[in-house]
Amino acid sequence: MGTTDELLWSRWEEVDRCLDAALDLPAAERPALVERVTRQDAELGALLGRLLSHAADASPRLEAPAEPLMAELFPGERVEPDLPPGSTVGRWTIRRQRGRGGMATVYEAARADGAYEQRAALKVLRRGLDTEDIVRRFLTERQILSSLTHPNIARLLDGGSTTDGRPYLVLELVDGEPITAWARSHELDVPQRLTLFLGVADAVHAAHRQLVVHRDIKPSNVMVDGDGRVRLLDFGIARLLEQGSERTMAGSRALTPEYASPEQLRDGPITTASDVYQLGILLHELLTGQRPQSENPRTRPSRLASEAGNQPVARRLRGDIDLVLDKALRSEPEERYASADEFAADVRRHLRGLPIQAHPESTTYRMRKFLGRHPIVLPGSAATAIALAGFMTLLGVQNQRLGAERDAAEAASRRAQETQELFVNLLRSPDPYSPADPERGRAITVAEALRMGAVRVDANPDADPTLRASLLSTIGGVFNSLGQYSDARAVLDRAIALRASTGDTLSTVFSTELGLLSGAIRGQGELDTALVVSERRLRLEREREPADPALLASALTGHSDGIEHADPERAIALQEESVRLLRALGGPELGIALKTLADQYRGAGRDADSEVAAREALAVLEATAGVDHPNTVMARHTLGQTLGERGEFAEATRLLEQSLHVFERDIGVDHPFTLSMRNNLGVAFLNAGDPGRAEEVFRALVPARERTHGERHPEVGSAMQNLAASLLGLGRLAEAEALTGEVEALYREVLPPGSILIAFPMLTRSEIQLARGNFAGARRTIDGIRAALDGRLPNDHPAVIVADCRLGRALAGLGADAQARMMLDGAVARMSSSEGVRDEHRRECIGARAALGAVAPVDSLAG
Amino acid sequence: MHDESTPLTTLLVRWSEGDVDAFPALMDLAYDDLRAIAHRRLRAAGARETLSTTALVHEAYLRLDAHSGGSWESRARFYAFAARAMRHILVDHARRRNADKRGGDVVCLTFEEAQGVSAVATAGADNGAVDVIATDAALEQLAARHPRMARIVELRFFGGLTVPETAKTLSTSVRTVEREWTRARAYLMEALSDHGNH
Repeated sequence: MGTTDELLWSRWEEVDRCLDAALDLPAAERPALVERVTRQDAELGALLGRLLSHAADASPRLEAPAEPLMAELFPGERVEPDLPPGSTVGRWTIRRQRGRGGMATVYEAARADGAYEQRAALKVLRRGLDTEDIVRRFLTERQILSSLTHPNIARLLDGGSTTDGRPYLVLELVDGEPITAWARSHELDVPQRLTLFLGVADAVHAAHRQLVVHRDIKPSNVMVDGDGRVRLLDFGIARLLEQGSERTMAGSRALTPEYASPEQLRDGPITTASDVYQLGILLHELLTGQRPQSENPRTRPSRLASEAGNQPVARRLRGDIDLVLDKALRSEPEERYASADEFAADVRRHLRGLPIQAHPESTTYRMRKFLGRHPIVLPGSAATAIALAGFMTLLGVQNQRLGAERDAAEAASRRAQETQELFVNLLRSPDPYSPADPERGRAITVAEALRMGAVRVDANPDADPTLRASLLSTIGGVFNSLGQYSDARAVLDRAIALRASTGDTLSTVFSTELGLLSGAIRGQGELDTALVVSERRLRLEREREPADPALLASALTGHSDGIEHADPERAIALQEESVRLLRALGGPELGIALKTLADQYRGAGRDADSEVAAREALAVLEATAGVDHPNTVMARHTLGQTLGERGEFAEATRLLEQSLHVFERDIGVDHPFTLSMRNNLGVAFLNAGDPGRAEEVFRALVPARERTHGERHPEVGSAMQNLAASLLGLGRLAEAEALTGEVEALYREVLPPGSILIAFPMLTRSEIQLARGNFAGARRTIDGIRAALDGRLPNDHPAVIVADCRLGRALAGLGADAQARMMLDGAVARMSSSEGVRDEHRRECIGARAALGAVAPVDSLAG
Repeated sequence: MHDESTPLTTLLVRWSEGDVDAFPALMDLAYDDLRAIAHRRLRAAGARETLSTTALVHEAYLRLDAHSGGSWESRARFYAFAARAMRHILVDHARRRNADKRGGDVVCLTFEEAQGVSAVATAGADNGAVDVIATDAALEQLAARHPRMARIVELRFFGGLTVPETAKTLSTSVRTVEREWTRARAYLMEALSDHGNH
């Protein structure tokens, strides 16, 4: 090692301090600093000067080890000797090698006959690779290129075979830079980048008109020449649409994973929509410097820019461009822009200040509007769960679970000091780049402030990791309360990673954070992932020495919430254990747990138990939390639901409307809790025999849920299911049946396998099919229901009984009287001991049995 | 925390928590895949002009851990591992090769990734190439003084991760990675240019 090397390493701390300080200065002021240092210490000054010039070296050095060594590492793939400069290929003379790929080597060449001065890129198939398949591919590229003439596509000039029989292509030589590097080095602003992009989109559209799909659009295939003209290159894996049937031919996997569309990655059918997606990635990278985040390709580009510290660009992208990219980057091909041309048209509209076509309702950031109107922080945390109503054709969904609230409160008080500091800092020094949003002309929302807070906490790596984790989990808890589950999850993931890095995975705060995280994940609808987290927490608490009854109760409630969709009996057992623990402690926690238990009893058809628990919950909460506290309101709501189930409709709707109004006032009309209350009011109308008012409620609820939760979310499905039930009640059978199909498809897509919720749309459909006399269809549907419920619900659960009863009716309709009788007898017998079965279903079942005669069900009718 | 079941995930967790013994086992598990993918890439019939380590690592992860939900946490661990593995593979290879030639040539990596057909060619020439063994040695020096800077270089250079990916993997901010990457790169270039003078 040389002397300067020794200097570098022996005095590294000092050197690093100098270099860091120097890099903080504007470039113009650095030489002065170097000079000052040199005066004191010539050696150090010289080293600093060299380091600064290394640092300013803009070439993408040391980014990734490149091909030559790799090629060497894997012998047998050695490249053949070059065509040496001066050698001749057809009418072309080789000047130098320019690049080497898996399939071909590219040379710079000139016309050998000197007919005119033209430099070109000559691409020749590598020796040894001239298998039939590859040669065919090479020829396909030639065929494709010969059909394409567009100012933004590199032209095919010539082609042929070398003397040793390898095919070659001669292409227009594009001397330039990849589009992303060019935009950077020319410091293009956003409109200039968009304009540049339009050239690419036009080229792709021109190719599509010739039925050519490029399939490998990425920055290194989009070059900008010295005149600033964009050129789309490399149709090497492009193909003609007519060849679609050859999809599985060897090499169809030749793609660039980072730029591949979802259908390319899963080897699905490739259409022009795939190029639209790749154009979306290209534009995303061109504008933000990054590809879309692979774990969430639809994260807003403006947010990425903002996180990268580029506020002016973030502001420029927010709105239209976010929407345009969102539409281009949909994972379902049919949801994207129908063509590269439509994509380009929207970009043009944006550049001219016209409204774009990409539809705002379908984006991931609907919460912004809501938060704009309701910048409130609700204390506590929301964990959403789905419970079963006692009745099959509709879902009484009560998804308010505040078990984790106590955790948040505890964490909040423990970290009150830090939190207060965080908020004071947020208020005192708002981000100078976004003091207010010019588009909306108002102060930033709480959620935006929190996001900024999270970024700041995270960007401060010098802070104690434990403190950072605590702040992040506090922010995560608030995001949960706001129903911002994906933000909550991201922040809590970070908090938990920090705990793991400090080995702090047994502490009570870690346990609390797991609880919050499982709530956030459940809020996003990933029920089985949430279960993994809540189970881990429960295990942690059960093993804690000495046990902490409050934390154990909280973990029990959390896991109970999570498991309810799959195993209601176990959920109730866990919740009962939690209530037992909390009776010794008292306080609002007991009221919350009782309220949850009341919901679960009702879900299991145990309405009498539910009423007892709900009344006690309400009494406890009114005494300990106050009459208008959100938890008290929820308990009142629960009691309303239960009374509805028990047939006391007047009292039920009164309680439900009362609690709904408080939530609309205090929490906001689009908050997930408020929406659930609205849902439950609709259910009560249905139960009260008023499907007309129920339909009104649910018709408005479906789009509201789509805005709040996202389109593919179980909550949307339950609203649709309830709408179907209302339509059935109104006798609009065809509409209702179509809707149940949609619900079932949605559930199958988003719910974990084995979820009993899938049975509900099918139960509704079976009723419709029976009403329409489609007995064979009904029988198939009921077989599906029985398969979905098999072993997951007790035999005397109302859903199982009614499914059996329906099967009996279907069998009777099909003429299988003996089997029908057997089935109906079993159902009627179990019905008398199950209190959850509704009167009209009793009548339905007993009536069907009576119509079959032979053994008169007189006793049951009397009961 | 999501997928503690697969051997890969278990080993990755052990390794990232400091269990050095997990590394050879991970290499056993992943080496063939890394190698096979590199192999296929080099002969890929598509018109790929470069072998991107990033692509390779992403793909290796997808292949090895197809069953997991792919939480970022477990992917980050894999990236960290793959970068280290790549470093080992390259350095071992360079050492062996140099030994074969009795100190003859120095194995070099080119600094730049070729940019497709029209990239300014640096291939073939030695300029823009870096000595793997010297890089490794310089990285050891840096690691002794500033472990995170060394890890940034490892992830970026050997793992092929982008700046945001590196930041996520190291649980730090993009800004920190950018600042430290700039400095670390300067130190390595300095150390290597010095080396070249001998």
